[in-house]
Amino acid sequence: MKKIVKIFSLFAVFAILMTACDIVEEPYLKPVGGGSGPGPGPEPDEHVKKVLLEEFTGHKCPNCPEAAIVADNLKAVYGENLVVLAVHAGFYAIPSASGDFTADYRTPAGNELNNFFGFAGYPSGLVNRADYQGSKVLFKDSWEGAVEAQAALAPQADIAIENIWNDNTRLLHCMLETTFLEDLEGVYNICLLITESHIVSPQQTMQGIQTDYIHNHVLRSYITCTWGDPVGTSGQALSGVKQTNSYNFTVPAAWDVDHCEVVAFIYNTVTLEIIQAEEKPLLSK
Amino acid sequence: MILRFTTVSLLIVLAIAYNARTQNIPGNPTVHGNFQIDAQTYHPDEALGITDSLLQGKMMGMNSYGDIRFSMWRFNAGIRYEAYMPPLDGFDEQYQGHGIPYWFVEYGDEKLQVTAGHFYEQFGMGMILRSYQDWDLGYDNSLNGFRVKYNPVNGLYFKGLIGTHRYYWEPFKDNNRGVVRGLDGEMVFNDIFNALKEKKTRIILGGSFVSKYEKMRTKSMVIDTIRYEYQLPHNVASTAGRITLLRGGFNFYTEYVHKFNNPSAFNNFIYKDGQALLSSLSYSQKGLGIYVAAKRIDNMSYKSRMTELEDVLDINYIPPLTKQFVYSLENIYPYATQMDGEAAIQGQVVYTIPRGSKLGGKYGTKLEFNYSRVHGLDKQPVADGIPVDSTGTLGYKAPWFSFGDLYYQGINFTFDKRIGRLFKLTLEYLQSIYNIAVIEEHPGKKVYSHVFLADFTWKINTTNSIRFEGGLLCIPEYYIATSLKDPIPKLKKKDDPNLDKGDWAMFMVEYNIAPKWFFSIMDQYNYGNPDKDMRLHYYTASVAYVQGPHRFALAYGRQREGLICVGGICRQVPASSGFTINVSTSF
Repeated sequence: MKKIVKIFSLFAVFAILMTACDIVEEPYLKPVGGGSGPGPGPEPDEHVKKVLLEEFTGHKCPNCPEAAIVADNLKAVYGENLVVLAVHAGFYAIPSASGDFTADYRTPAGNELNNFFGFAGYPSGLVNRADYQGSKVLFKDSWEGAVEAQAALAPQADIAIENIWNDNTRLLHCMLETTFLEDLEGVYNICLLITESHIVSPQQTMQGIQTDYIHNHVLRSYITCTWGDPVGTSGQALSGVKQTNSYNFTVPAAWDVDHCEVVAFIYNTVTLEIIQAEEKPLLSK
Repeated sequence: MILRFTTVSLLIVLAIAYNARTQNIPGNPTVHGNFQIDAQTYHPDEALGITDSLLQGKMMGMNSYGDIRFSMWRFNAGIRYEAYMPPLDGFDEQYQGHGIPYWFVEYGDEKLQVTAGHFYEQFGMGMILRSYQDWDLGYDNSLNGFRVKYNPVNGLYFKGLIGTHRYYWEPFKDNNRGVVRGLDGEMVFNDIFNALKEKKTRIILGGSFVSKYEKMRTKSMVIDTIRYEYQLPHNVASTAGRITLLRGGFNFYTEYVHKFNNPSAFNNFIYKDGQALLSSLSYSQKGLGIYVAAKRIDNMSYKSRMTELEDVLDINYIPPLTKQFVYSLENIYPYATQMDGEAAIQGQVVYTIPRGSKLGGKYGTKLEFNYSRVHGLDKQPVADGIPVDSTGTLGYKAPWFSFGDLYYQGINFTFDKRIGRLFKLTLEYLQSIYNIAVIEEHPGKKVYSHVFLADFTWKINTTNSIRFEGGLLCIPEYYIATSLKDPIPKLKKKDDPNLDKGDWAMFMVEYNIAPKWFFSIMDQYNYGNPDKDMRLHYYTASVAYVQGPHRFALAYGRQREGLICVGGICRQVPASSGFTINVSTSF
């Protein structure tokens, strides 16, 4: 009997150790400062790592508005250092023949990326197309950690975007100037695309259909092909060398250029990991 | 490198064991195992919406494994190789690849057993900890670490473990998931105390403690331009107690689990503690079995990664109180356990009318009745002005004896009778209410269905038999509400999302030439689909050949879209069309 008591005492001690548990008392949320970005912007010559969050969504996806709020929150925290892209693709983005969801926000590039990365559910996202906790495809609650991890990395390249807009022909000429900050192995491609914000269009929510929903950062079209072009001519990452890529694109009349932005990013063609992103309003030079 | 070393070591051990067996070396070395290859081809099928662009060149998928176990003297070892090249449709793409996700070495005597490597384990009913594998579901949450089992005296059992869960092929590194630690003890009173040895009532008492450690990253949110950081616990613990009472044909079991604050993606980062209670009582005697059970779970998702939403990295498992059905039409609307909260009851009676009686006939007649009902919790705000499930709060209050929306109800009768020496007849009816909005997150609310099935087997002679199976699944156009909270729908059939895919009919013929050959044709016809273009036949023809432990099967046909559920855990299967090939063997 004594033996059993001893063993149980041992068991109890172990149990106490095992239950060592962090009991969190209220308040569960602790204010840590303003939410309008990471403070003052970078100095003119300061190099900053900018992160691309690609949110795969659809207007029939009831959970997607919550993910958009997560993206907006992150944008509020990271400001210009986070580029958000809403890619409408997959099952929930398929338009209906009639009713509230006749609009088609899908794009060939979005469809291709959607098939390539193979999303198990929506909303899902990619943060710099980099692995985070073993996966490139991330649900919304992993975005913050992934953005934080990517933003903490040292910048490896700068991208400068210059837009020339012709209002009569609606022709956009876009010049991208890339400067690698260090020599890197491998081949790097650059992608260019257009997003549009403030699109008022129905969205399925958990509470029902919201007809006056505002869609932001919607991918309208890739200007390059889905997988982009080599940076400069060869895609070689040579430190300090300015390399340019230029594109022309006629913007469809249905798009509101006042709310369009051009987004560029560079990625490693083997790992697919994006090393730098940049965003600029279409109407700014 | 470590994995390669382990693999080579295990293969050497296996080779020694094989050699030892042939040379009669002491220690009784044995090697056994099994292999399975499941392959499927994919063809475009316009009617199902499967096009070349959707297939993206994926013309074939294959899941396969080889599992080998070795034992000698007091040692056991095992290794499993898996290959997904690429995974079959419906399995997570992250499985793509091949390798050795499972190996272990184990030493044990009568008192102590130590396992290093991967292992599966369960405490109690699994509500606090269960790691297991289900090949058909593509589910594997094996733990990789150490486990010790200790049996100091007869009737007293301890288990302790520490490990990390399997996550596809991704090794544990850089805090990409948490570490699980657990301790379990069980006392069989009648074996420990001499005074109770001869008593008719047997008492078994158990207790468990599980804790997860995960290095939390920052999580924040912005409210009115102010950024707030969540106070996240690095260690999340849970405790459980259980009792089993056995007397005569009665068996009573109850288990309670308490989980401490565990804000996670699954519960929208609320801080409410989790609770689970499961009680069951069964009685059995010759020809009669009765089972009743009740369960209430509240905020019981418990994963080893805070941000995980999929069916991976689960520390615990909640047993379903719904029947696992055999026939395909009954599995069109299977119930999936809702880990955020549910209250369920189940009652089952199996009675065999004795042979020789008027109703029992020459061979007896088996009757079975099952009733299951599952409700959500009655979630109420924690304070005025804070919506239910608000992130960064306690989430909600849920009174124990007040229930929310109906999630599922199943009423099922089975009649099973042998008619003479050559025939066997099974008739089955299932009425179910299926909350499709909650279980599948589909538009709609509840699908009310009736399933009628008949299964008839004719044993032609000692080797040949033929089996016919026919069934109907009907969804009535209008139905009555089963709860005062449910409005009575007045929708027309074509607009009613509660009709889901509408009515189905199925027919199957199987021909067996025992013990080697098996042929079958089957058609499931979705004749009542509200969308006329989707009133499709899902036909399959299959043949199988068995030679001892080896089995070869080939099938061609269409697979309908739907859920495959085992034990309340489900996998979404997309529609497909093509050949299926299965090869398996064991030794």
